[in-house]
Amino acid sequence: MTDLELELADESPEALFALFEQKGWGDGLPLVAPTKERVEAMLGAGAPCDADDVVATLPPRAGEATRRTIAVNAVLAGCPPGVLPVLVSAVRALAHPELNLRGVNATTHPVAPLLVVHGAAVAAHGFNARLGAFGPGNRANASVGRAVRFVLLHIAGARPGEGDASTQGQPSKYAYCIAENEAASPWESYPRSVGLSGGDLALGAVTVACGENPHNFHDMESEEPAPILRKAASVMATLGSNNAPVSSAEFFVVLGPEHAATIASGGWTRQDVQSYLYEQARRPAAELRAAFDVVQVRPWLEALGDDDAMPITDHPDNIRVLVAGGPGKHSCVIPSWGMTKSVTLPIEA
Amino acid sequence: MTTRILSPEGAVGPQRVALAPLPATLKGQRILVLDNGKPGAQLVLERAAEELAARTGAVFAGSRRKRTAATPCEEALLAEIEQSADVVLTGTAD
Repeated sequence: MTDLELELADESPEALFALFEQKGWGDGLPLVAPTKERVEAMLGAGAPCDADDVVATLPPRAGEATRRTIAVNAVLAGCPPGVLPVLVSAVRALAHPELNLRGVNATTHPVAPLLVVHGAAVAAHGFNARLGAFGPGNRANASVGRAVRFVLLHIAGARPGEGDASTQGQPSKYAYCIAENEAASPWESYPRSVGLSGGDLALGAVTVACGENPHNFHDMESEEPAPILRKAASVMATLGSNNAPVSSAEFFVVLGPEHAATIASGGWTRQDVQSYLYEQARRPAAELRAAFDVVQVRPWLEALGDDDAMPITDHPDNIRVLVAGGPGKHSCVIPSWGMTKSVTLPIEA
Repeated sequence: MTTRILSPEGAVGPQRVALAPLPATLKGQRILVLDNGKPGAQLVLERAAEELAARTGAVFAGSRRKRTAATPCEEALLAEIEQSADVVLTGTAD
């Protein structure tokens, strides 16, 4: 038996649960035993590279994520077969410097990496981009989101109280995964909007964005874009937001298909939505200055007068727009942690 | 029947930084505060540094503030601190 193997007293779920509790592993929910056979099946035949090559080194533990250790966590989480390339791409995204995983894991703010799956991978692995995309009820969304959390808990060492200082935690720290509803989107796919193209997208793409739980906004009445988006702006510019004192912060605006259709029917592009939200999501500068002792804002925002309307984020590009969900007049805003940038990568075989 | 499973943790990579060794004595040493920018951090750390200096014969050499608690300290500031201090007090949390 190697250092990376453990022995279970028996094959029962209770024995696995007891071992993981003793080790301080897991998320408190039942697990699938990562036997060698199951892990090999998750790795798949004809893997294009060595399963023990390091994909990424994740803070704070400096844990080395390999295809094999990622596969172990995928088995634990109950992932369907074949989905490993999606997870490996997500782990690569987590390790990008601009995502600032060390800060994401260490902060007291409730922040979890949201995994958005795009393109061919959605249908190939059965991700849900439509009704109920944030859950529950879909195996791929639930288990792949859970596996991302397991990678953070086990490989990165982001355990509550040790590597994760989140004051209250949040439900999306169990699992946080959706798919983009490209079929219902009036605009080009999200990965294309951030510069990926052609062959890069043959297998699909992933976006990892570290943020709070979704903040719903609803509009049952409006037949024009502006009233819908003013409600989104109101959610973005709440004074209690962790992003209020951090001007570089991203916001993901996940539009339900009906809101997106109404907005697009007015001739608005994705860039129009970003620009309008940038203009609308503001609060009086004096109010923000009175509310926070410590701020991280661009110098030009510091130069605004107290009576000026200060934008909640310092550039329209910080407002990321995509479509997910099904019928209904609901959408959501996901404020980021602030000192993090989302990363979109193609899925590799 | 016993079952073997694989560890979900994997190996730990090489640590790129380590704590500097503690000085044998603080007497005559320059103590500098690295403020992480959180509310109250400067106050707490400076009082601690002043008290430490008073008790040990060290010298309180002032404070520096990193840009934000959310990211690592800027390289240029670290280089300057290296020239300005023998002991650095810093911390994290709110």
